[in-house]
Amino acid sequence: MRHYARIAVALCLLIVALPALVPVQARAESKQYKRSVEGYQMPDVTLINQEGKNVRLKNLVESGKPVIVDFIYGTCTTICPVLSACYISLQNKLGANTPKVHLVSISIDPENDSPRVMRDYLKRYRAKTGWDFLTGSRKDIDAVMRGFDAYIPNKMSHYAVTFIHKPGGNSWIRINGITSTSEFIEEIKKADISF
Amino acid sequence: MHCLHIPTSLKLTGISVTAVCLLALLSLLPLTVWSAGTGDAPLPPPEEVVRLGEKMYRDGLFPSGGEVQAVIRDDVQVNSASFSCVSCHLRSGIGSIEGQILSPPTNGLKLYKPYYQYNPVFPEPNKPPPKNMMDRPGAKPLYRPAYTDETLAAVIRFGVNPSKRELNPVMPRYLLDDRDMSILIAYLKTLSAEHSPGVSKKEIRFATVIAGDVPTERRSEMLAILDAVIKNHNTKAKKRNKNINLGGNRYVEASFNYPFFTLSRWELTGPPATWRAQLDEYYRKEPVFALLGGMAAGSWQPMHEFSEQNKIPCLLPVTDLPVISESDWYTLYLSRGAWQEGDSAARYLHRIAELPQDTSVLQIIEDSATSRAVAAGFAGAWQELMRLPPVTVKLGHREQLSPTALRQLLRKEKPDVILLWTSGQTGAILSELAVGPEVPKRVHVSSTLLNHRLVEIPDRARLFTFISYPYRIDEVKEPFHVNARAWLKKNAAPVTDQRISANLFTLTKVLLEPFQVVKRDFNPAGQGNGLVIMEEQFEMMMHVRRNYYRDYLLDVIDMMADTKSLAFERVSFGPGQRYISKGCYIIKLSPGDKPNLIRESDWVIH
Ligand code: HEC
Repeated sequence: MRHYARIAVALCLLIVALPALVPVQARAESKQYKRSVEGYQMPDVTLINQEGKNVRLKNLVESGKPVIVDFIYGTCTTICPVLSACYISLQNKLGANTPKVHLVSISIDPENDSPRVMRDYLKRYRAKTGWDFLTGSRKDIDAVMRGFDAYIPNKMSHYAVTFIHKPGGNSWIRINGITSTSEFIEEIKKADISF
Repeated sequence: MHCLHIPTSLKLTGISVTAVCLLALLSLLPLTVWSAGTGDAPLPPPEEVVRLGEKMYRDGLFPSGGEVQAVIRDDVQVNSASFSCVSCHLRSGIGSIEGQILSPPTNGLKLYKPYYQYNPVFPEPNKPPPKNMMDRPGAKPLYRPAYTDETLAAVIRFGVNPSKRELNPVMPRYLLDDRDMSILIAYLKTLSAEHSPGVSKKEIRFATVIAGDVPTERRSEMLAILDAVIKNHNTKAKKRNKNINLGGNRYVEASFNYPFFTLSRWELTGPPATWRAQLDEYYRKEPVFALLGGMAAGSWQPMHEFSEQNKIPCLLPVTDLPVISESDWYTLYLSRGAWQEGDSAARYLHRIAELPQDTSVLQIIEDSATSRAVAAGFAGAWQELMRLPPVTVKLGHREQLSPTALRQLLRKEKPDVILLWTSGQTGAILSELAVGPEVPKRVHVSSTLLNHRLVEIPDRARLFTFISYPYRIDEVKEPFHVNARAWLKKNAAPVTDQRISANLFTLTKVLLEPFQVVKRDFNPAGQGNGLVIMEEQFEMMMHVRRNYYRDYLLDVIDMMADTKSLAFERVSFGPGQRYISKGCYIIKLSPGDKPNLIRESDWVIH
């Protein structure tokens, strides 16, 4: 019995992994990312940032600044480095406008991601001010993932997803996949955010 | 353009915009990074090539010291100081699956062979997934021929493989000149090139270390669970091997059969300073693939250093005194041990009790490694939280703190918090404190130092005594726990309050799962014809089979999902994470002989 279960799990893993291997030609017409506009209700939770300070998620989202959110973790391979490279590349491209957008990464490995681990991570990526990394209790982090309709029970099976929020309202642009920096900026502009 | 060495074998026709952009970018690189002429300089001697290649692969640093440059999706610049090849293809180079993306093997052995992958499909959300690979319509293998040095350089630079397929954009396109590329490729050829020591056709050898004077009950409990784990693997391997080994006498290569496990006991005697030499001698006589479990009378440090220097994984030694390191690789600990208890106490006082910044703390330390470890954990966190350092009283060897001395200390220091990092005398000191004249507000103690005899905390002191408790609090009746207990019972592993079996039950995950004997081959026809096939790629994700490399075992463990544990609230894994339990409760006791453990904190406190 156990074997079959395991094989089934592995198969599922395999199947979800396969899109990554689709030849580019096969999807040449479509963009390399998928975009949709969604409404999300955030749970009222308090998370902890890289400085060890409490951050109420509601206040962060309603700060009046455009907010961009992704889900990563400190020791993550493959997808987080690429998402974070996109963040830092965006910050570099925005230059003097960097402070106008609040970049937020939320940990999906909250037990290991202590403020120190998160500080080190941001330093390694040369994050500029305006990019915060948040951790919290397992329960609160699960609630946030659910709030974004991005709940994953196992951190290894997460996927590249980024959310863009323009101030006011519950509306978010959801981006599945990896954008180039110019596409990222286009999407931010589409959210009516101007620099 | 500067003198660029673009491999001539590469025809520009099939190449995408990315490649063209890359070429453009390359030509813009300043001369300092792309210094003309270095491409022709002869390569350094082999060991040096490996060292320099490893620096590129792991640290993203050029032999010249600068950061390797790369791009993703044409305009996302990658600073290789933040991540490099190892972040995706992992230390062994056998690859990873993460973020639903498969990073394939990048060791020479696999790259220089043809490779088959099944034609992938997108899972359709409203349809059940196909039952197996063969059920998919139009499943036909994706193929790429064996790489050559030229095509390998091309795929690393331009992301186009020898069958002209453009790779997933997640694989960055790297800007390397010919010489650096040769060094990197030479390194890839050494990566996971042959099975690690301790692996033969027939078996994979393990050892467990018993160092110094370990109490008999503890060592028998450990040996019983280790034997159970080994036997469990061997029973499955035997069944599987029946056909392969033609009656069990003639053993084919370990790549095709299922090697049995053997376990040796390495007993170390005499003072800890002599243990390292004894380990080296055992290893010289019998190279093992990895160490399992293990116990020591004292710190695990000598074994830790032995593992680190010889690159031998050590899975789950049972110790309160692990080496606390952010970067060491080869020892996978159950937890940070006694250190964690001090760390959690500090974080509790800061984040949950929210004591003011000028809180005064008095700590009493005994002359023992465990007491010092708890204190070190506290000090590290307390300092990180920018708190005033505690006033420390160090007791001498076997020194008992007398009631008079205690009262004098309290009068002088008037501490807001007392840290009692003491062992046997803790009950007596707490009784003394409960008498007054002024009853303290908070006293923190360590359950490991109390040797887990929490009832020794007197009733009168229980209101102000906070205990660091690094285990799960309730034994729940979830299927995991029921099954785990049943497994231990069936396999004759004793379960005591020493928590040794409870701890080492996790070996069924970190050891047995990676070597899991998979019942079904996805492409049995592919076996043995020298091709890297789908089956192997499938295996790659969760199993070690056929990739008997020590580094790969650790890579596989690092990819494991968080799980439950009999001993801890949770255990979790992740690349480079070397303490699988990350938590420690702060609790209080209810009165009486059979007190309840009252939770004062979450499992993990930041
Ligand atoms: C951010 C993750 C990431 C990093 C960093 C990365 N790779 Fe890759 N690599 C991948 C993925 C994913 C693929 C598979 C792409 C595909 O098949 O479409 C891949 C494919 C490859 C291939 C092709 C393998 C084959 O069988 O065709 C080679 C070779 C390779 N990488 C080498 C390297 C080297 C060398 C480095 C460092 C200089 C590196 N990679 C850095 C993710 C990464």
